[in-house]
Amino acid sequence: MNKRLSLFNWTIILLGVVFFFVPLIVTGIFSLWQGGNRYGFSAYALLLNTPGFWASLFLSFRLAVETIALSFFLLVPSMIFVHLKAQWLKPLFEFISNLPFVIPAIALIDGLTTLYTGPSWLISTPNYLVIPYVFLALPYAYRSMDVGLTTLDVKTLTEAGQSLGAGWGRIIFWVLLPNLKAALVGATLLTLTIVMGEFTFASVLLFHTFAVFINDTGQNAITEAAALSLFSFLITWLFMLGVLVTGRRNPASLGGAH
Amino acid sequence: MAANGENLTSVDNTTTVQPPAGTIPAGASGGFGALAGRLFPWVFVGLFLAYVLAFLVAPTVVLVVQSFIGDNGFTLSYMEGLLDYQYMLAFENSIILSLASAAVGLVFGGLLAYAILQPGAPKFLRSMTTSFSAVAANFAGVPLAFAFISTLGTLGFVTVLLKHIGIDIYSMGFSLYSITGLTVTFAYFQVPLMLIIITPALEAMRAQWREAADGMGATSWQYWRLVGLPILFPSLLAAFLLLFGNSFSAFATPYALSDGNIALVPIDISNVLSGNVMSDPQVGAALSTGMILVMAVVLIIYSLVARRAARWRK
Amino acid sequence: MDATPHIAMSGVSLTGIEKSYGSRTVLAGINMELAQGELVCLLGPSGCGKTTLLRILAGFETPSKGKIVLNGVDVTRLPPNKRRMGMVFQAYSLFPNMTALQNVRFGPRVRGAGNAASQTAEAERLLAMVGLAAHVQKFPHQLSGGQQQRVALARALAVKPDILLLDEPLSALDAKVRTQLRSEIRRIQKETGITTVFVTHDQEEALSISDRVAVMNEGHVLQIAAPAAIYREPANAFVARFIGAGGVLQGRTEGQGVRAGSVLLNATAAGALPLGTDVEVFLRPEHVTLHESEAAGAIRARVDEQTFFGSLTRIKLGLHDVPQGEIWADIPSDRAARYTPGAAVWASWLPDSPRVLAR
Repeated sequence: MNKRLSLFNWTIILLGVVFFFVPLIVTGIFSLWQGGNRYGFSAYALLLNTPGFWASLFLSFRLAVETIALSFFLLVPSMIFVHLKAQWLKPLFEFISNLPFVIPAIALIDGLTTLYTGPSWLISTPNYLVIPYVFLALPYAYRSMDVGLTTLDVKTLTEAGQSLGAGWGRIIFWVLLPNLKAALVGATLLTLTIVMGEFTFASVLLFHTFAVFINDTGQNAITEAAALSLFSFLITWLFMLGVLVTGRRNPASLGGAH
Repeated sequence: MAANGENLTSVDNTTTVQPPAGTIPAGASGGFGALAGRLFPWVFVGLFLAYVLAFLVAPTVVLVVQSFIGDNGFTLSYMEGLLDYQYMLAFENSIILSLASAAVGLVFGGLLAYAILQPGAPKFLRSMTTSFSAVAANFAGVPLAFAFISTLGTLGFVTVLLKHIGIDIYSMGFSLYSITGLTVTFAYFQVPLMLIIITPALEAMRAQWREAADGMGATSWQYWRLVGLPILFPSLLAAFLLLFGNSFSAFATPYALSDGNIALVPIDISNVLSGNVMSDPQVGAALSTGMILVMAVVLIIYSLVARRAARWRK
Repeated sequence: MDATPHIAMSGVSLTGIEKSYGSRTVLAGINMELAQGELVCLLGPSGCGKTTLLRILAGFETPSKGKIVLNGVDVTRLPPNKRRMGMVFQAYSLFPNMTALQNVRFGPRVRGAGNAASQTAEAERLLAMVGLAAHVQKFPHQLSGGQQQRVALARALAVKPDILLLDEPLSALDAKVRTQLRSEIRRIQKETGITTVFVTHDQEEALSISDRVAVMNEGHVLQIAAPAAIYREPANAFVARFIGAGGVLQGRTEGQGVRAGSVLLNATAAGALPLGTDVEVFLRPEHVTLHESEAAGAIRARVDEQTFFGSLTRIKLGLHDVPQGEIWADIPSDRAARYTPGAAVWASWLPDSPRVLAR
């Protein structure tokens, strides 16, 4: 096989690039439109000064962090344990990780609002969103962790830790988690993007997350909406690249057992 | 101390009296500490399962039940109501849209993934697409809708550009606010999702298989038809089903694009929920149950296929 | 069974250890006493239960029946992290996210033994003892397989265990590294005086470094004795076949010999059994002498094959008077040229050499 890429493949890649970048570029152009033939950054300037912008951005970010924390708390120890001692539970976990696909978000919110009418300190704060958000992220977080746990020889490392006198806590935090960094980073990234872009739950429950803010703006001011769309895409992408790069710079978490 | 170890003094958590060897009852532990250590991991598993039960399973069950409860108790009227023209149309649209966008995602995403993984492709493309795909796969909703309105809407950039060179896509029947338009828009997150899913499967295709086939004189087409595609088939089918599900439950993008005016099941449900439509809440529940039924069938097919995919592996 | 009973003042005592998974019995009643400071090898084919026994000692499995006493303490139900044991696994047990030094420090850190400075100093001492003073800051992926296992050994010793358990630690290494490392392990073990259990499927390994070898098969310990005793006086046919090489001939006892085929094989040991007993005769290659012409007490044979082992050449002989009988003879390679395949020779041995076991 020669190392050159065939014309067909190049065409596909080119088409892909066009398809994915044109809408972004177009949105970018629109975001710079200032009426008539004038172009400038006034839409962005306006946005940065809109209080709703920062508030909703921080809210979404905060919810993402909370979702990641809750997901890890629920998922990581139980998955490690299932991997080690209860392999027979794996099919159940896989089934559960696929459930969020079966139960559409819109149906879940319907059920949640019907079933849970209180306590009000939970329901009426945006933190309530974290509960369904964990499920949105579940398929991806689970898959990421599963791959990480399968590649790492969890059994031998755990037994080595135990033979040296370590209890579960130490084994998880000193031995397993540091070596699962790649999987955890992956799960974090995906959860972050999901929460930042989530609209369905937030809009139905009337919380002002970033996506809701974009939608509200889109009703009135199209230039700002364009600016927002582009902004949300770029910032998520930048953040992702940043985390990927730092994840890659840690050689100890690669190699090792291989 | 006797050679066989009886009459011991205890240390740590060990119990002081030991029955003669061979009669230790099953399940005897080395004290509470050891028992707690053994139970402790189960707590986390239990917590996870309880969480799933409380916040995923229970609401779903409640919902399904609700779709069968009328003013006078159990009734099938709401489920039958799904057979009304408007709801049937919504289901039809949703299913067609999902099939179409899944097909587009499968084909284009598959070809793109393959192209990028070729040894001749630029290296930076791979890491760039990994991060890009993760973001794009979740770019749904208002930003995506807006980006496409700007591009392919009635006054969109590309629409206008094409008009300048004489092609009026709207007069040719295209509309961004139709199923076709939605399919194109959905491709923006379906293709990246396909990339994410199929890349590991493609990477697992050994170069040696291709080389062996080439060595035996097979053409490219023969290789794919007899070796490549059959091996990939389970993964492709699984990917298709996942793409289908993703599209079927999509709410944000069609909502933002049509402002709630397009006949799709998630839109209908949200209309009931938000009170835009004068309906009993059970209608929303019934619609949700209908969706869950469709997806359950899809998932069952998916699990069967996934099991078959793993059959020859490992 | 243990050939020489001793009283365990400290050390390890296993009584009636049984282990079954459902209907499958993996260990069928193991009794063993290990003296303090002893190195015992568990040797046997795959599936004999040696690894299971080791894991039961470690605490990663619980026996279905039986008791383990370690230095006077019943540890049968004690979880692994509460036993004072050190374990070296077959491979990949070093924590990839820690340097060699950090790996060795792990045990003391977990137990809160001393402070950072004293732990580091002790870890450095142990790493120097295993010959890795120059590699303390390296990560596992920067070390070779042999070096990784040395770190694993240092790490296991760092917790000052009562017992050291090694689960085929050398199996994943190159032959040369293996021989080097096993004598080092023995040296360190003797220096520290820790009771050690070493699982291996490699006989050479077991015979060369142990104080005693326990030969296992199908969940039983068939014989536990010093290497020389295992080699020279195998207790039963399995051990005789499993350990070392050699020919096996079948026949009937006839006084101080065994009648096989149409010939009488010299075997003093046959005299201890009743006349006419069906037996197997085990003959080690180093005991067989070849003659180019008839000699007293020698039997006719024919050279079938030669295998070159470097300094020795092993000759496979078909016996003229024993149908389908085969024995082996080891001769210095310099003299192997004359024994070409097909050549007729005469084979003899000292009457005391063969081992005779009833069938």
